[in-house]
Amino acid sequence: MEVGLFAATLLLVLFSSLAVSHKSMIYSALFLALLGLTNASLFFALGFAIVAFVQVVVYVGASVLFLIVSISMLREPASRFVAPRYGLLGLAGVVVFGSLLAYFFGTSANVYPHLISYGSIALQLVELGHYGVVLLFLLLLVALVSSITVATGDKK
Amino acid sequence: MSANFSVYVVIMAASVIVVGIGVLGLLLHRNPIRMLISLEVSFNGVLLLVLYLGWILKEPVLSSNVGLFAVGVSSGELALMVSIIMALFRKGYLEVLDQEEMEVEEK
Repeated sequence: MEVGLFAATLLLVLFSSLAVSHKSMIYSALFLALLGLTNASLFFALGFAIVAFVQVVVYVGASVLFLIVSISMLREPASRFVAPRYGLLGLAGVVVFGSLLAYFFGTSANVYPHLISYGSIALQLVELGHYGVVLLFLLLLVALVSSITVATGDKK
Repeated sequence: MSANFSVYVVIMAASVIVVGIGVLGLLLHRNPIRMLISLEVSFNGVLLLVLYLGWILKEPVLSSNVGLFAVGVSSGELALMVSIIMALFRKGYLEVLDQEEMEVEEK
């Protein structure tokens, strides 16, 4: 279990750096999809099985796939990535900051994942009010309609 | 410090590193698709951080709700941004090249 978690975190950092720095945009989007899958595995390991399922189905399965298909329709020239001058320094700073943050906030960590049921999530949604759900539904609807409208707009 | 504790410290450090990598990519690239991919990388790190904080603060249901909302909003945002960028590419308002390559071509 622990070895798997360590491997997943290493893959997370590896896929994120490859998604940002790869030459080809299609491969960058592909690494973004792999990053989403690795993230979902970490969610599952922490006990957030429903969020992991939604991440795989909605985010990776629909949105990132849409991004990959859209980029593949572009006539992409061969691009090159120039290493940033202060990138390694910034990365080292981020690593130090993350370690400090983890040291100070991680002391109350429980070692077992929580068991979350769909019923408890739905119950809290009802307790908090339906406005958030309605707002999210409207947002997704507007995004879908505007995406279709923009994609089927006037051709040059 | 137990072994399990170190595992979850590593998860939090990895999420912060992923956020940093996404922000670096957002600052360094000029191509809108690459900027969008960097933004999504950063979003993945933030989502992991939110769920981890909910986990250590023993609020798993609340962080699950926040995570579900974040995934939904991010999916809609990604679809909308990709459609807008593709439409702008098709109309010729944007270039596929990076800023550095455009400067090379201008020379």
